Amino acid sequence: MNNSSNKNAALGKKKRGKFNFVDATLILILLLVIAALIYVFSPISLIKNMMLSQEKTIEYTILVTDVEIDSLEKFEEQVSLIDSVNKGTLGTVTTIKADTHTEYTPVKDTNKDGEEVYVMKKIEYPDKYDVLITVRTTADYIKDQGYTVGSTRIAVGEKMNLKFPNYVCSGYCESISVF
Amino acid sequence: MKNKENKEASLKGGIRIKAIDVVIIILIILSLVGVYFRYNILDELTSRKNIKDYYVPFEITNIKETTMSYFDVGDKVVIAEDSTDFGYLTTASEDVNNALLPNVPTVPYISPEGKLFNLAYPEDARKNATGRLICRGSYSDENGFLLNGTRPITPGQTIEVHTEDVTVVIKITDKVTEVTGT
Repeated sequence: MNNSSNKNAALGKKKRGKFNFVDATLILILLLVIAALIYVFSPISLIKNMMLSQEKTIEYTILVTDVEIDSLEKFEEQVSLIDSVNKGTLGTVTTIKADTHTEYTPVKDTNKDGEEVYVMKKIEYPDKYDVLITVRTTADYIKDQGYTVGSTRIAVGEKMNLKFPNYVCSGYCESISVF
Repeated sequence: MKNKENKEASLKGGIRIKAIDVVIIILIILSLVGVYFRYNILDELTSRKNIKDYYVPFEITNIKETTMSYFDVGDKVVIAEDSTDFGYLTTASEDVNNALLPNVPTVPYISPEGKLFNLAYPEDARKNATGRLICRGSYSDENGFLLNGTRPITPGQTIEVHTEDVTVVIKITDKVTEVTGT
């Protein structure tokens, strides 16, 4: 009896450490299925990005319109610009250029025949400014997808939420150039 | 005695596969085949059977001339909402080589005197532009154009799209026409 129980214990010990081919196959199939699902259903997945992305130095401009004159001094050069929504760094501000805000507005005029007509004319608003911010950074570039800095897409026409050390505003990307 | 020998033989290294394990593996393989069949073969047989290239005409309003310069023929266009491939930019019409054809926008304006004027923006102002995409999809009179055979794209619809360099909202202006000679 004692001899038999010793044998069983020995068998149990050996069984615990045994490599089970079927379990390993099942685990392998499951891992493959999970990897395939991630790859297929996430087109901008990390795997693809890691394979395709390359770093490029870019300089882009952002136009912020309708800025009050008192706020102009809060747009600083040589500071790190932050995305005010996702808190990621967007790059270093290299230049700030402010111009008087202009808008096309219907204005009364007289045509060749002396008739009163209305035409669209560019009108300056002296108490408001349009600020063009130039930012330089290293961006991740993927062909056909474009440039991203952190999780922020940098593209002409893209709305950008900006945070300077002492000012928050939003504007639209105006241009991109690659170095 | 025989039983004991079997146990020892299996412990010594022979791979023992239970019937239930085989059944599970077969079921998993069958389910994978089922998924493949659903997403590839059925789509080919049903919604994708008439997939062809179509011209999709669109308009962009209030765009700067500098922004227009970032559009090139051959640029890949994706739908911003879910990064679905939309198509490729082609020439704005058969007669031009550019991806976009600008036109000076006009706006209706009622003067303080109550007169209606149709005001044109100056040449250096923002413009409207028209263009065409080549998209893969199917078209039928009942369903209209379905991008990739599944997603409806209809005239009047506005869609935010990305190219490599630009984010812009386009408005589909007209019915699609089939690309011939490809």
